Amino acid sequence: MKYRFVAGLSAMVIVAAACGGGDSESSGGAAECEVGETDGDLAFYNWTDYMAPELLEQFEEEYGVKVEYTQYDSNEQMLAQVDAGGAIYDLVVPSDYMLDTMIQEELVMPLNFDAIPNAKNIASEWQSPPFDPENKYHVAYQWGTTGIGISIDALEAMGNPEPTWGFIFDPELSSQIPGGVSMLDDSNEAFAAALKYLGYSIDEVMTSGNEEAIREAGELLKQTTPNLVKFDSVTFGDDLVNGEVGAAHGWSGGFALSFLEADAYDRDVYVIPKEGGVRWVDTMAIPANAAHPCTAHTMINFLTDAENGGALTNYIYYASPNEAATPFILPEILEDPGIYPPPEVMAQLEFVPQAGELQLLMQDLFSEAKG
Amino acid sequence: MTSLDHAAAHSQARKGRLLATPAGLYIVLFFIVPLLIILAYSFATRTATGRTELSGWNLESYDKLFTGLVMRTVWRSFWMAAVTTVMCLIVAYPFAYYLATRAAKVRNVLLVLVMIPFWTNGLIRIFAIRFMLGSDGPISQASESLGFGEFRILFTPTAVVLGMLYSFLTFMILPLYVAIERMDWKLVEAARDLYADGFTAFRKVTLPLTKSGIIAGSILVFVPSFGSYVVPEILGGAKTLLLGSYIARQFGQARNFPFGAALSVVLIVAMLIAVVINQRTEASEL
Amino acid sequence: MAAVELEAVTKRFDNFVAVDNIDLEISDGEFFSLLGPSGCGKTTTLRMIAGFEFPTAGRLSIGGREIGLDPPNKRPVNTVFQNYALFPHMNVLENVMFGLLMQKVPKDQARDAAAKAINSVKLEALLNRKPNQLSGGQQQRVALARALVNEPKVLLLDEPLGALDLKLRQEMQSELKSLHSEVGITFVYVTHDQEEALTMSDRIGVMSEGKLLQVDDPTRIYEHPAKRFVADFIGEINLIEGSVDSSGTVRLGDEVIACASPAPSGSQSVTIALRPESIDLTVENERIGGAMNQIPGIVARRTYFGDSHSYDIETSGGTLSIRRDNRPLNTIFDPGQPVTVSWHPDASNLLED
Repeated sequence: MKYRFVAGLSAMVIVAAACGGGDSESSGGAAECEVGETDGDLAFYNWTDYMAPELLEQFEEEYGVKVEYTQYDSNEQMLAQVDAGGAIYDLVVPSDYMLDTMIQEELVMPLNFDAIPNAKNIASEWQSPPFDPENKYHVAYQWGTTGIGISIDALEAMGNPEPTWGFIFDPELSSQIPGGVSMLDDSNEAFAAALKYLGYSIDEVMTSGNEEAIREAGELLKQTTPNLVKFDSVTFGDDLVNGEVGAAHGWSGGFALSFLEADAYDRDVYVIPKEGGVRWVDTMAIPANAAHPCTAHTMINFLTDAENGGALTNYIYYASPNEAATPFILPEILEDPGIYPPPEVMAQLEFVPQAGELQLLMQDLFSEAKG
Repeated sequence: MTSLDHAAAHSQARKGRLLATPAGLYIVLFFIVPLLIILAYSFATRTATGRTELSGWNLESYDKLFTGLVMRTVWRSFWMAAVTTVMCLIVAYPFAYYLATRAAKVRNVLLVLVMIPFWTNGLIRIFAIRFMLGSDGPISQASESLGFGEFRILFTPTAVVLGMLYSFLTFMILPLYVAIERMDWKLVEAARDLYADGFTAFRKVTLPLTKSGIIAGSILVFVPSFGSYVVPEILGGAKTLLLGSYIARQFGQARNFPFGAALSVVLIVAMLIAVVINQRTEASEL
Repeated sequence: MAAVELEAVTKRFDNFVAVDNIDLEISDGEFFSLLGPSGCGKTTTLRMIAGFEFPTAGRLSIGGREIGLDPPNKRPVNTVFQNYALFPHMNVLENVMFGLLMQKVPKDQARDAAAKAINSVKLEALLNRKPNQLSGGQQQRVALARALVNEPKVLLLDEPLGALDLKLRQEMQSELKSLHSEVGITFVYVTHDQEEALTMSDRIGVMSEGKLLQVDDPTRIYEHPAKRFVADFIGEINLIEGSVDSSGTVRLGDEVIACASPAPSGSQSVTIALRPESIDLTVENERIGGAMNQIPGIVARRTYFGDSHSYDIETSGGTLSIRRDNRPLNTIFDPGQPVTVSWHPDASNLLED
C-alpha cells in the first residue's frame, strides 16, 4: 500500500502542521510493558482502507480500551503529522523507506519485543530488512509488490511475450498496447522501474550513490513520457479495468482490489517483469512521543496473532508476512500469483531504499522528465 | 470620487476601525502569519533525509528557481492559465451579456443555475468531467457510435484547459455580469444613433465600459489557474507538469519544504505585482 | 415636404399600448415639441423615430422615405439624450468625432468638423476633458455638438434640459432656440414642461395615454385647447359645466353666454374652458361695451401674489378663478363684494372630453 491519494491537501496540512515547531523527542529506551498490558486508549494512524473493522472491535472488547482510528493517504502525510507533533499517535504504519527515514530522524521508538511474543510469527524473510537491519523498530504489517497490470487483449496483441518493463519503456512494445500505458506518479517507483529495465540493482545504485545510473534512468524516463497516457498513483487499477489504459505500472494490492471490484480477473492480469521488480512492506511502528506505548505494543501483538493476521489479509487482500497466519488465509488469496508471487519471482524483487541525497536528484529528474 | 467623498470615506474609515478589529485579527492570523511562515521556510535548510531545519538561513532555494525546469514549468503554467483565461472570457462574455439583458425574473433563475455547481465539491465536479472525457465516457461513446472512433482528450493539456475552464467559469461570469448589468444602455443607443452598427457599438462602447469586469474576471480566473493543482493532476494525468503540482510535490514526495516555500513566495509575489499593476492602471484611467 | 411622418403608428409592449394609432406630420425645419406627462408615449414616439423601438403597426417616414425597420445607424437623425449619454471613456473631442468616424469621414476632416462644432457650443477650452470632469451644462453642450456635427435631417431631443437647474435651463432654452434657427434642422423635442414647449416650439403635439390629443402652434394650444386634458395640462384654467338647449344656446347657470365655437349639435351639456387671466372683473352692474359675456358674481376669496391678485368668484354657474395684474389704476375687490365678470366670447372654449 503506497499512495492512496494525491498529496495536495497534505501539503497544506504539512505547512500548517510544521508551523507547530515540533522538534522530535529523542527516542528513549524500549517501553516497559507486559504482554497484554494497556495504558490507555489507542490512537491508531493507518492507511486508508487498510484494516478489517471487526478486528478493532474485537480488540476494544478484549482489552477494554477504545481505539481512535484515523487514516492517511501517503507516507509523507503521516510523517508530517508525526513530525509536527500536532497530534499524538500511538501506532503508525510507515512503508519500508519511510520507516528508515523515521528511524534516522528518531521519530519512532525501539520496540519491546518481550511484549510482542507474536512477533515470532513473522516469516524469516521479512525479519531484519535493510531499512531496519537489527529489527528493533517495527513488526511487518502487510506487503506487496510493484509491477504491471495489463489487459489480456494487450498481451495477445503483442503475441504474449514474457512480462517485461519494456511494456512501459520499449516504444515498440508500448505502442502495440491498445489504450496506452500509465506510470506511477512516484519518483521512487518510476526510477526503480527504469533502473530495473536498464539492468541495475536498485539497492546497489541507491546505497552506492550511483548518480550516473540515476541520470541514465532519468533520460529513459524523459524519452518515455511522451508515449505514456498519464502518471497516476491513485486510480491506476480502476483505469485498467475501465479500459482507460491498456497497461499500468502499479502496486499489487491496488490491482487486486480493482480486479475484485470490477470482476476483471478474466480480462486483466497483474505481472511482475522478468527483469525483477519492487517489493515493499508496510510496518507497524510506535512514534517516539506515543502517549500509550503499552496499548500500542498490545495492538501489534494482537494483529500479529495467527488468526487475526489471517482475518486481516482476508479483508484487505494484501499479502501477509505472518507465517503462522497462512492456514487462516483464504486459498484464493494464497493462490493468486498477483498477491503471492512464486518463489523464483520473489527472489528477483528488491526493496527501494531511502535514497538520501539521491532523493532530490530523482525528484528533479522526474519533474524534468514530465516537463 | 470627489475629494469631499474621499474625506468622508476616510473619516468613516476611522470610525470603523474598532469594528474592523475582528476582521483585522482574522487577516493577520490566517493570511499574514501563514505567509510569513512560508517566507521563513523559504530560507530554511533541508537535511539529507528531507527534514527542514529552521536554521542556517540561506538563499539556496531561491538559487534553484533559475533552473531551466522551473522556468519551463512557470512558462507552461502561465500559458495554460492565459489560454484558460481567454477561453473563459470568450465563453463567459456572451453568457453574462445574455444574463444581464434578461428580465429580472429570468435573470435570477439563471444566476441560481450558474451558482448551483458551486454547491458541489470542486473535486467531485472534476471527477465528473474526467468521466465525461474518458474513453468510455458519453462523449467518446457518442463519437464512436457516430463512427468517428474513440474520442481521446483525457490526460492532455486540452483536458486540463477544459477542466479549468469549467472550474473557474463562474469567476468570470459574475464580474462580467455585474459590469454589463450596471452599464448604461443609453450609451449603446447613443453609439447606434451615431451611426455605429451593432458590432461596432459593442466594440467601441460596451467592451470598454465593461473593462472593469473583464479585468476582475480575468484576475479571478488567471490566479487560480496559474497555481492550479487538482485539475492538472486529475485531468492532465500529471503528465503536464504545472507550477501547482510542482510546489505540492516539494511538500510531499520531495520533502523539500524550503524550495516549495520559495516557489510559493515567487508565485504569490508575481500575482501581487499583477494585481497592483492592474489597480494602478485602473486608477490612473479615472 | 414632411421631415417626419407618422401614419397610424402604434407601439405595444406586451399588453401595454404605449403609442396608440398616431398620425403626425412634422415639416422641414420645424421646432416641434411632444408634450405630455410621463408615461404618455412621447418618449416612445421619439424612440421610434430614432430607431430604438420599432412600431407594432403603422408607417414611419423620414424625409419622405419609409424607414420602418431601419436600425438607428441607418437613419438620418441624431439624438440628444436625457442625461446626455456621453461616452465616459472618451474625451470631449472623441465624443463629438464619434459619429463622423462611424460614417467613415477621414480622421483629419472629422477632427476639424468636431472642433468647429465644439467651438459653436463654446467648449473649445475643454476638448480633452472627460465627461465626468464637466458640469451639467457643459455636458449638455457636448451632447448637442455631438449630435449636430453629423448634420442630421432631424435632431431628436429627449427632455434634454431636465437635469439642469432652473437658471441654466432658461439660458439653454434660448440658446437651443437660436441654435435651431441657425442650423435650420428639424427639431423634435420631447418634454413634460409646458413652459419649455410653449416658449420654444413652432408647433406642439400634446399626448396623453398614448394618444396624440392636439397638434397646434403654442398660441392655439394655450388659448384654444381642443380637449379637456390639453386645457387642464397646460396652465391654470377654469373648467365649468354649461348647459345647452335644443336651439344650441349655451348657458352658464342662468346666464346665456357666447363661445368661440358652436356647441356640438345634440349635446345637452358642455365643458367651458376659461383662462383666469382672460376674465375681467368690474364693480356690480358696470357694463362694458362690445360683445362681451357678462355675468354677476360675488367675491368669495382674494389671494395676493405680488404682481397680481387672484379672486375666487361665485356665480350661478359655479366658482371662477380670476387673475388680475396689479396695475396702479386697477380696482381691488373685497370678499363679499358683488361684481360683474366679463370675457370675450373667443376666450370661452368648448371642450371635448
